[in-house]
Amino acid sequence: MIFNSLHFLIFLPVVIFLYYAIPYKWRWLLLLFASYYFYMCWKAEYAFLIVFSTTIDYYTANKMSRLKDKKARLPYLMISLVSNLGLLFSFKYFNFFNDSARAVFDSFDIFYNVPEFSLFLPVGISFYTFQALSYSIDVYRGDFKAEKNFGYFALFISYWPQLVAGPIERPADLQPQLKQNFDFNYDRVKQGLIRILYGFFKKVVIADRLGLFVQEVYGQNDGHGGWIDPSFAHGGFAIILATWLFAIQVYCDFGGYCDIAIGSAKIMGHNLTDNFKTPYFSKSIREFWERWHITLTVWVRDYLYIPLGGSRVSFGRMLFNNWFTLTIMGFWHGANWTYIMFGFIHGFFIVMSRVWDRYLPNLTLNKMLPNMKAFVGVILMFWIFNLTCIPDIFFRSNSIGDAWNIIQSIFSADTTSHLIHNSAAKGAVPSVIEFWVSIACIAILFFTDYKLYTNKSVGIDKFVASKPFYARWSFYVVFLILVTLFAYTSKSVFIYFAF
Amino acid sequence: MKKLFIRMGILILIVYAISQVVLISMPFSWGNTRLNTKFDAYKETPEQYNTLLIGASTTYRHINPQAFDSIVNALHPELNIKSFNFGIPANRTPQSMHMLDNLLDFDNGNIKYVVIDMSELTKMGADNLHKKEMLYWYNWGNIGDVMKASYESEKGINKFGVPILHAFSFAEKSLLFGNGPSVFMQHAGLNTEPLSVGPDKNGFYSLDQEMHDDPEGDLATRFSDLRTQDTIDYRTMRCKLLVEKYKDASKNSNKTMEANLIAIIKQCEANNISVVIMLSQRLGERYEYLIPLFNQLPEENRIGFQDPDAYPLLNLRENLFDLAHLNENGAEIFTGIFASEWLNRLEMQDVIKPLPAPKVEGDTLNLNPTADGGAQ
Repeated sequence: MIFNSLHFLIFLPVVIFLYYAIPYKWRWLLLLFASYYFYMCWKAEYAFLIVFSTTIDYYTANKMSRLKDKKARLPYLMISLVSNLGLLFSFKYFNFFNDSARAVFDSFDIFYNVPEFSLFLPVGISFYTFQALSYSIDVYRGDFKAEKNFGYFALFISYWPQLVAGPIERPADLQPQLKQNFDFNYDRVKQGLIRILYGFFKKVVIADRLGLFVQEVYGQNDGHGGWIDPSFAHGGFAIILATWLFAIQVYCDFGGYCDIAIGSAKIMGHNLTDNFKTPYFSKSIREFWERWHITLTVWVRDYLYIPLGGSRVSFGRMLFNNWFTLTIMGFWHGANWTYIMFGFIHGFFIVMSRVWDRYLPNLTLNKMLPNMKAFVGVILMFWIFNLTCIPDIFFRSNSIGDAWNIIQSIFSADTTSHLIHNSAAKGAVPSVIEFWVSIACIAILFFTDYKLYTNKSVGIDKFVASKPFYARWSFYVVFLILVTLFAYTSKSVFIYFAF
Repeated sequence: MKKLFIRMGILILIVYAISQVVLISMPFSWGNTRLNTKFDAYKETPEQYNTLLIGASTTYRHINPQAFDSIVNALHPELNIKSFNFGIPANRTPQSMHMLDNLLDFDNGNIKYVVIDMSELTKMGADNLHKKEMLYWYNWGNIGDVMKASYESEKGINKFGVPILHAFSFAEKSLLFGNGPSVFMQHAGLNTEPLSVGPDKNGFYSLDQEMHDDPEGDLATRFSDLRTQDTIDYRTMRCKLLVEKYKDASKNSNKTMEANLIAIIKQCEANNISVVIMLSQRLGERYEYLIPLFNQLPEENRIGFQDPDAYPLLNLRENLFDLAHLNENGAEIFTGIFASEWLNRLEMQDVIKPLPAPKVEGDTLNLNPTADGGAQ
């Protein structure tokens, strides 16, 4: 089930109504049933993977919790790690490694005949696997007590709002909330609905509409002749514009999903972790990663970066740790060299920023122009936004070769006018109208995000709820009208479902 | 919880009211670019037209108003027919009724003759959702009947599924869901396809002409893929079987649509407007529900082309563009046959006096000696 569907618009009120209608003691069962139903709407049989993961982790965690000695717990942790990562490897990465091995063997003319796995990638496998892993590791470390009730544990792994695209929750944050008895609370439900409304605005008004222009450029410059108009490849500023639009599309697509997830959970009383905090207002690449996909960043920091030594090692080793973890984060997104490159470039930027801070601490715009803070702030934000667009080219491309095609096309004849005027399918609304609607909505998004940014990046729900009556209702009416009138209604799924 | 529901209700009412204000600023034809283009052409001089040809592609592509007017006026100059073709592809009967309502509201009493082509009733699938072509024609007056009619027509789970899809589309229309850009498109004057009104600006645009104007469009594929002798023969055979099976059927008539069509006939008669309902040729499986309904309509108000044996020329490959539609030559033949049948119905309605029978060759009028209309 996807959030931007009629199915979900029926599912959500039904689940929430039942949630508050039934006695507290049965709520976990309702949510568990709803979560599996939610997931099985894609491919019912893949629910067995969640059941498998849940069973293994429940068993190993309970075994570990009975053992005081960390060494004795280790085998059970290994069972959990091997099972979860094994699933992830088999379904997501096997073909990638298999193809890479084949390429290497082929280059040496060595016969290699390991067949490909012809399996669909289970939706959201990276998200729920990482959530399950964090549970096992926390229990192993003694940071969290194993859950005795299998039902509650199964709900923690499969909780529907964040099951397929996060936020990746930590057991200490989510598990206790699932056991709490929340009564209906008007203010909390209102905040949840505000969050959902803003999420839909990001997803169906902005992200889906921008996809039209991004696909126009990236579909035709993909090195395979494209599929929109094979004879027409884009170039010049059109490439830069499409990449900017893609950066905003991903933010609105994933951020919108998270807003809907957080809002849905909030209606039921559960607070999920914010995954995005106005990332495009970052003034440094490190700040960007503190604001972008926060739950993954924190996960990788706690379970990979810090065990590697974090920043309490030599400077050179710390740079390696940074680079390595960012590359792994890139690889987490998918089994393709493009995602590795995405992480690798981000890692490079982080390393460069650390080197700069260490060796050229006074050579920063802030220190060179101390009286022009606002101006410097805008320049830095624009710079960081553009910097993050470079790895996005690899993120969006089908292959490294395609990404190079795109980059090279920047230096060919400009096709911006064609992009703006000819992107829509024949018979649909002219793309020039869709383009200017997109630009107007992006302006509204950035205005709203700027307001959040200047309010310590508080969530939109709390921000709006804290405003006076006229401001709140203006928000409701304006955003509901925007979502109603300007929803881009052709079918699309969330980009991050693929991860 | 009560507080929440009240406030959400108020919010939805505000959004609904704003959507309705926006809707008022749009012509009834906004959801279909071809219809919008035709309406733009029509409303330039609406007073000159006294005949409306309403329906789907089988009207749009088959009835040439210029030829129709000249044939009819040659035989009955007192009628002084001037017709406009409002056929649009994939039009459903409730859409035709919506169109007729709005055109008669727009008209100042000039319209005397109406033809409605009944080529589809209320068919609706999930793929049709969110498309402005499937939204614009719903209103509070027709949604109940559309849901009821689809419940009567459909089978199995679709008995409930299709009415829900209609209800959902109606809700989408009421809130203009996803149609903000279409509003801009309309008001910016971009909601037109100038060629679709046809070279004579009377709403007729033959498939050959469109393929000629847009050689790389979908029509070229349809022409090459669907115009094979096998597909044509198979469709003809299916039509024959279905016509034979349902020729006297009345039991499965869609009662809601039947009541609606008869009401239209009576309302129009009360306003001195003659109505003829047409059932097109080569509609295939749709005859299962169209023929029983057609059989319930008064004889003087219906013309049926469903029987391939009765109209062999309309089923010859040389006159067809694809497996269901006629080409330009076929349209010319069809227009002649249709004009003849239509005059016959006007006689039955006592609108005109019978003329001495014209010379007929085969199944078409020999009004144009150069036309290829010999008996088969």
